[in-house]
Amino acid sequence: MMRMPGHRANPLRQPRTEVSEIPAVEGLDLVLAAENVRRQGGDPTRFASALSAGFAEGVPSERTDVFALVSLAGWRAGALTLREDALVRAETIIEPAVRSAATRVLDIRSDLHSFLQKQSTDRYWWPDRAKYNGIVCAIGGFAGVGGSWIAPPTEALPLAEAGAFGIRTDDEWWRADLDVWGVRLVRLSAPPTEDPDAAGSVSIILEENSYLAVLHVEATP
Amino acid sequence: MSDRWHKVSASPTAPGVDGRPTSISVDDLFHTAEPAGADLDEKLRQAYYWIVNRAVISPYYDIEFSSASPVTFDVGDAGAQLTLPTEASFSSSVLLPLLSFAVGGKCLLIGGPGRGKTTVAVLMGVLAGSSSGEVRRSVQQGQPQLTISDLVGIPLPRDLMAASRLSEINIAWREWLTRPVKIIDEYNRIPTKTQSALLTMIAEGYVESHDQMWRTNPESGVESWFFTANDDAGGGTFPVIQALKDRMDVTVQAAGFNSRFFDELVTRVEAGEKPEEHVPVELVFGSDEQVEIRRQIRAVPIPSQVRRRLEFFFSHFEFVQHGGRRFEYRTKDTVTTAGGRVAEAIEANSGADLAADLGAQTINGLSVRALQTLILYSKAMAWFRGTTEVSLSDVAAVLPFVLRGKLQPNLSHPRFDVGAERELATDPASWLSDLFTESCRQFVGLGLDHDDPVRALLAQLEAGLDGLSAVEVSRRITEVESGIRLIASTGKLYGHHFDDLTTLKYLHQRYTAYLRWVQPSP
Repeated sequence: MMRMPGHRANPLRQPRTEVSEIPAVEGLDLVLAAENVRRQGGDPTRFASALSAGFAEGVPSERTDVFALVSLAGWRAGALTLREDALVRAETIIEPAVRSAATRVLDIRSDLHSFLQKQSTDRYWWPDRAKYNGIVCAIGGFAGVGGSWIAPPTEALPLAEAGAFGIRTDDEWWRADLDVWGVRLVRLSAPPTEDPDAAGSVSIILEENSYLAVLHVEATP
Repeated sequence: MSDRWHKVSASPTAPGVDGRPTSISVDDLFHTAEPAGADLDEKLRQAYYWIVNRAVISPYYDIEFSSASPVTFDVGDAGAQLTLPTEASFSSSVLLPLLSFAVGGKCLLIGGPGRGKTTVAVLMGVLAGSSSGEVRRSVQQGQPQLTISDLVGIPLPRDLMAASRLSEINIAWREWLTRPVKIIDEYNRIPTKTQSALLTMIAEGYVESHDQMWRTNPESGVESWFFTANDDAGGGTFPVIQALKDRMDVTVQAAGFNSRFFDELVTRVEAGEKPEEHVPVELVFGSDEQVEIRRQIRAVPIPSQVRRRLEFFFSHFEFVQHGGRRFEYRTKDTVTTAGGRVAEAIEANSGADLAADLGAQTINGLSVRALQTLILYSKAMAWFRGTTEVSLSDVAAVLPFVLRGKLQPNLSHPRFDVGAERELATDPASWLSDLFTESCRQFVGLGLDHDDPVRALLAQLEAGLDGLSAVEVSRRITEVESGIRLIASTGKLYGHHFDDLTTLKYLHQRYTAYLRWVQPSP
């Protein structure tokens, strides 16, 4: 089980890339893009390292390909709100070299096509999930050490929208939106409405006295 | 570069908005459509958590917030209590400097050597966008030989020789003067004359030398000052001039080192690392962000019920029964400016209940500057916590740090002289905190939260006098007089009565003047 908030798909120790180290692309302010990724809940340094990996063998000549890689890098960095845009743009990449760059951006050991296919039906999928016994991420954490909650979570409900859960901590309800790379937590003013059919093979695991809520996906036979 | 420094809270530290996420496109990443500072409070909270968890090792949570009854434990045999607050709570030695950075304030960090005072101040400089080297170089070390020229710069020798008038002398101003964060280490070791020059800089925002003037405000207009001292009781090489002391917006005690975090200390020594060299770039605030933060903080409203309790709290301290003969002159300031001793004047007042008279616990009243600072820092605390308006908890949290050194305890009062209460003589933060709690208790006890006749009379006047009939004004004058009579009939006089009576007299003057105008004498 995880002991700190975070996503299993993100390596625990990764060489840090500063935003200032992103290769320059004429006409695009990638430092501003990194700042906006941060505002969307993503990690700007992860955005920088993803994009640097994508541009390692050169910046694509087609503008649409550059935008697709930037969008994928933002999503990969945890900006959940970029998910739909990134998936749509990734489908438009044709050039093999750019497709290869996209897999470097996403840091996945599979080809882009099969990853996109899996993601279209399972937003929590990445090639190594089975290795971690279906554990995708841990969210929340104690506010005193930089987490979100001041009381351990005691109840979790699946909500109607894909990737959404309601989580109760003491007398507060939170909405968690999740996928393979990102999480967005907001405090709710009223208890959310449960949709029991929405969860499927996905569950939120809560442990007594733990401030973490762990997302688990049951292995499909 | 070591990765262990670069851990910034990924999840929101205090989310406040409901709703589902709205998808964006990659084009949105290249727009600055989101106003600068839409999530600046979150960024400041992330900076706070980074500092306490990564930079200064401060596991102290002395600024407590609780929405329900917190669990408390009696520990030891000397009345100590440990409280476990129910909401996110904070370490004052980091949060108050951070709020000072946010509001552009002046923070005095006190405590023995090696407690991280200068480190915290330097971190604020790095958060403002300077490199750690620049900030370290611009720290002004207080020492007994520090001259005004050392502090502000020197006239160019060539000009000194050639100039025929002062205006022709150019000054080589010191670079630190225009930094957004200014740090004066050990300010109680600076000679008195140099302290006066420092006072002009802080109070007026400029320095003068040889008839030349240099503005110290940075381009953004937001500057914060950090002073350190290892003594707050008049010690040091030179006593700090009172006017300079009064300019300190908040005074914070640096926390000691917790021995349970020794391993982290060993790691740092082995790595030879300084926290200010590892501030994550995403936590640095640009000058436009600093301006926006200050704007947002000032815009946080203080609701009426909080204002009423604050004004009741302020009302205790100016009045002293035997301070003078005329009613309006019965103040501590009258006694002090005439060279008298306030404690003796308080002692002479045998009519009031010393336990109930909160004003008797202090030898001075509160300055308007102190009140303004309290308002600003209360707003900053509410903004930092992500709330939409200032609550009583926000005020209570910052009050001891704002009023420390400004509200002086009357040490001959029984409050500081009986049993365990003696502890309060050396713990001004706890004393001030208790004072505010007791004031709020009295406010509720007097029923002022739902029945405040003087406030109601003031509100009537604030609605305007236009079109009021002579009959209505006469009725209000009678109401004012009966209010005065009611207070007079109690036979006792406390600080809040003094302010109420002064206000009622003011109302009487306004109404009688109006009455003379609408009803000219034949």
